[in-house]
Amino acid sequence: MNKSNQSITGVAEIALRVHDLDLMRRFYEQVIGLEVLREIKNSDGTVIVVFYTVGAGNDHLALFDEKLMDWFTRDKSPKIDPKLTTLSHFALRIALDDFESEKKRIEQLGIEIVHSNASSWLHCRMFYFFDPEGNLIEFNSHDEGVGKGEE
Amino acid sequence: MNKSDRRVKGLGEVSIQVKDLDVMHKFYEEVVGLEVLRRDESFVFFKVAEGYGGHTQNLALFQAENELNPEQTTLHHIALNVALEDFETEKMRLEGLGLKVNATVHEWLHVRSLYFADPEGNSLEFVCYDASVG
Repeated sequence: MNKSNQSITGVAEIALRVHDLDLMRRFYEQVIGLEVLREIKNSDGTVIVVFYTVGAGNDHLALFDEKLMDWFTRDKSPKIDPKLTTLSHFALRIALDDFESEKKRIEQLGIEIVHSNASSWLHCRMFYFFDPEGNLIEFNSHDEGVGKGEE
Repeated sequence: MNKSDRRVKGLGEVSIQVKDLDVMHKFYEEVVGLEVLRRDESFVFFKVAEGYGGHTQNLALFQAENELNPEQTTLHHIALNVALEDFETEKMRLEGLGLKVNATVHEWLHVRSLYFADPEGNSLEFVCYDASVG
């Protein structure tokens, strides 16, 4: 067997720690357009975690209030610092047909597209922008045409 | 927005910044068990699974160019799907490697989870669907 672990079947979820959950959920719901799967509330009724469904499969994205010092974050600080984050970026897959229109839509919302490129070895096109708390999001489309004839 | 209008089709990739690329590469390849797609001087891409529209779902490590603090990270955790029949053996395998593994269930999602940390303090979860949970 090669070293790859055959029991792993996919990325199930990425969970972010957030400072302003209301602001961040407006962005992920209204700009990115994700569907809420579940809200988890504190004993006082405040929402502290929001889970989203990403696409039609079982992919999830979750936003966790930074002050939530449970759920295996006991060694972490209750204050995030996006400048010191270990997260580089994450990519959300969109259809190639939607690539240009999504780019335009994001730009028209006043959000800066900080980078745009194509990868010849990953065979995809991507553009990047920041969420309101400085996490870098990539929108990525598979494009067999990219890198054809190279490598 | 109704469901069929949603443009986002799935998670394509998660990339983290690392202090020691060699140590982290070894961990994600040998302990987590991901297949290397491409290694370069400053990054390594792993294939996790087949993804939406013929593309792979990847996890990538990038050599950090700036200072990192895993205690103040905006990343809460990354979860990887594993098969239910492998859940116990994976738990034993990780523990056998000397990792501290927290096993739990999330009843509302009907899943079993294993949580453990990578060498630089990022939380990972191995998660599997189990209809008997919840």
